[in-house]
Amino acid sequence: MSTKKLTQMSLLAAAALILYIIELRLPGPVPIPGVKLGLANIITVVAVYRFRPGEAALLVAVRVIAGAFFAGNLSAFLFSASGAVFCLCGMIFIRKILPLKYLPMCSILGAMLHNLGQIAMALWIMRSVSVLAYLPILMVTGCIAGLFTGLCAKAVERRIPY
Amino acid sequence: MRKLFVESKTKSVKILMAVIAGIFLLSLLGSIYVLRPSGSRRAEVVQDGRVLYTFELDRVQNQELTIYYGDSSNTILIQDGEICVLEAECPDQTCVKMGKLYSDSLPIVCLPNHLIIRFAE
Repeated sequence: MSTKKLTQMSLLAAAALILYIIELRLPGPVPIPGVKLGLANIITVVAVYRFRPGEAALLVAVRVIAGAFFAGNLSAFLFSASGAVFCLCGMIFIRKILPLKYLPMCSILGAMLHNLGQIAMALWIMRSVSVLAYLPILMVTGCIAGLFTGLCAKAVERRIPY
Repeated sequence: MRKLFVESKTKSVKILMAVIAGIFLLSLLGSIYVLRPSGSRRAEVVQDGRVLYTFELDRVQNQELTIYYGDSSNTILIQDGEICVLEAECPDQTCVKMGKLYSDSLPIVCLPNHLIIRFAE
């Protein structure tokens, strides 16, 4: 990995972490657990389109693990990690199908997969199918949040020089 | 050959768009179903699968109740036929943020204190 790339990735990881911490401090838009904008996803989408899959995964791993220290509780880390794994694997695959022009679409699917990962983790932690009631709500809000972060990611992507 | 490639690309984009639209519409219907208000006027407080209390929401007025789990606790308020968690001794405060109980499918849950508040039959 070249020094330039390392620096670029570190800066993006730092930006993702800052976005994550800012979002922790913001009150949720809807009083339903799991509903949020997912601002840190902006950086994930950019990384998926800009870097190799392994490098994007590294960047997300740094953000999730460092973010857990700021969130300060284990369940937040578990939900964040399971969401990130689903989202990242899905987007790395979708990126091969969708060209850069359709980046917001990739982001929408990523956000939906993120929420799916969180539901899967909730199913595992609570061992109760009642958490599935959250799935439709999280899919709708994930769609909207994913579109928003996707449009942001597109704007960011254009401004980062190669 | 090149034309074919471009065509297949737009085709996959179209398929993905249809998938997104389909999931969105289905979930929208699902959300409306999940979020419909409950017809029940009885709420029960459950801890570790055991029903601790059952309240007739219209009969109880301005009652505050603290439920302990080890050293930790939740304070429940019943007022104007509605039930909510007023205070919780936990870092995430999810149950407080969820506000009033309004739907059968979405009970108020406090994971750290193993507490569930839901509508009863």
